Amino acid sequence: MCAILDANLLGELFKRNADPAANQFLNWMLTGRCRLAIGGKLRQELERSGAFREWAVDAALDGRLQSTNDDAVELLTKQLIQSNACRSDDEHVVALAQISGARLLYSNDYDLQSDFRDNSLLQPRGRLLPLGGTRKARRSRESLLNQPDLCPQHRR
Amino acid sequence: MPVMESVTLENFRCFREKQTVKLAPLTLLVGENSTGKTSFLAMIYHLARLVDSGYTPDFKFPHDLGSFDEIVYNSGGRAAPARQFTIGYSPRALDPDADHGTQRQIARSVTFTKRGTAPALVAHSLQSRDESIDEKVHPDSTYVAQLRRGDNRWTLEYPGPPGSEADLHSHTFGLRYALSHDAPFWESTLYDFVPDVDSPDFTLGDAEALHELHRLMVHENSPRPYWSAPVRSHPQRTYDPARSSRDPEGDHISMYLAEMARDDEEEWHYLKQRIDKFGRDAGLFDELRVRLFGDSHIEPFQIQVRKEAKSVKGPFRNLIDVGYGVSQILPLLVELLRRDGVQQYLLQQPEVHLHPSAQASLGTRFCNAAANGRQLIVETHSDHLMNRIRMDVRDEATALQSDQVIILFFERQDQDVRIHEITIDEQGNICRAPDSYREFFRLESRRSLGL
Repeated sequence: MCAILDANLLGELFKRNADPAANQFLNWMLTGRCRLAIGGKLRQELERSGAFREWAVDAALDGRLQSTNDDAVELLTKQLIQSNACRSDDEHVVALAQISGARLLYSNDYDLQSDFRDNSLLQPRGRLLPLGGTRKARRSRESLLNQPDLCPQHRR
Repeated sequence: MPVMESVTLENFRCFREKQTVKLAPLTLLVGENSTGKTSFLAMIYHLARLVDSGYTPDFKFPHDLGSFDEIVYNSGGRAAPARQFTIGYSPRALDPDADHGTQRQIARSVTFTKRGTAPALVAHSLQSRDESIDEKVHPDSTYVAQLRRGDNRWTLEYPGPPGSEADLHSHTFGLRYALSHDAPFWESTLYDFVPDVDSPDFTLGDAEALHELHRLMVHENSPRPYWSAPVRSHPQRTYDPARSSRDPEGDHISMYLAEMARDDEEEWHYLKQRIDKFGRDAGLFDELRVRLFGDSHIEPFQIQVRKEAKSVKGPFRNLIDVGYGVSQILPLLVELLRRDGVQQYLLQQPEVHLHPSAQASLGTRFCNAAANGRQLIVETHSDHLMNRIRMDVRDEATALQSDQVIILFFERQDQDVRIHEITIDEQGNICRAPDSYREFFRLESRRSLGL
């Protein structure tokens, strides 16, 4: 499973007593067989957090981080901005998804979520990690986080 | 350049199941203590030495694996130990009959069983897609040799010495000896083979094809290995001239350096330039020199290094007076840099005594060596070394490509050990890691983050 983490949720993720959704995602990052895609501007945004940097050092060594070429992400970001194809102003996140193959988004930004589900931007279109705390939502989240075929790296 | 593409092992030390494991120009062996990494390395050493048809590994040098009972898989408990173990390898072999660059899949394996307390060679096999040469000694000492070319097979069988438990070397019939020579030997030995049902008589063409398989496997594709032990020789204040033949603990390196400094100006210049560069990159020293006490080969000498400060060059200090890491890395570094170096390096924890920055520099040195046609198989616990290799691949810092690196993760599963192949992609990402890979570090990371 390859996922993309919206930098806006970083603060919630690494704080003590975070909400159940954040806890589950963090648990997946720390102990699951996840791959978190980073690259381009999103790399810079995430690496502002000391806790993330600490996680990333180990994650890079044990295969939980999927680093993508920054130049390629930035080039595609510029093209997306010029084409005005995205509803959100997070073209760098969409560009990262296109290049890395990651299709699972952890974000509470409605416009970015719409972009992820837009077939004209992502083929196959992305999936969203529900942030709600209901039992059904948790089950859905667990199912998505454990689907290895959503991650191109696992198919190598 | 002959390198091993894969190795196969079964019932060897802690490896019960038959496993075939891929090797790359740069292969890193990782995993917890006592998961068989050193045994694996020793196995490769003995396989590489099989170049000599008469060579039977004693499994004592360079790493003592013990008697047969210690080498064969034994889970303990009620299950009996295995009765034999098999090890083998496939080299990268170019097909002389095909277009340039075409690979030919060939494999070689040897099987050992117990004779007294020692392992004895009882089976030897050379295989390609179209031909095979198999020799085996049965428990009743009967010797059986089988040749195959396409669908045709020929067999030779004769009883062994009465009342003894023979191994392959106790049989005087020299199949491998015959195959390593030209036609006159085939006439007298290979034509004794009896064709199987539906197979024609053995011909000169068959003999030539099998001779070619033997030549390709045994003489052209057996790498010469160099083994480096985890603890290298102690530095000395002054060295007396001694032997300079290769040694796992690097005893020979001081003499080799002295010989180069004294007798071979060109090689010494080449070597010194590269040693000094590594020293600077690793932060260990800026310059190395050999101080000779006289011109004669029997005069003593010292090895000294200098670390420069901002404003002054600083004095040369004896190897024994600087950090232990310098003397420990020097033998390995010189072996990697010398132009007459071997083709395959089997390295046990080369990072010991090195500061993380020097461990990282060693990673770059390994990438360079592997990119230049040498095969390095490195047992390591160093994250710094692994990280540097990963980043050098990503940044194209050396010519080493991502598909030329492989990480073998040794995982204990009950009494057995599984070897997982982990790869690196062109962005330096670790791929195909099993869930258990670095589990300890993940838990430590979680604790470190206070979660």
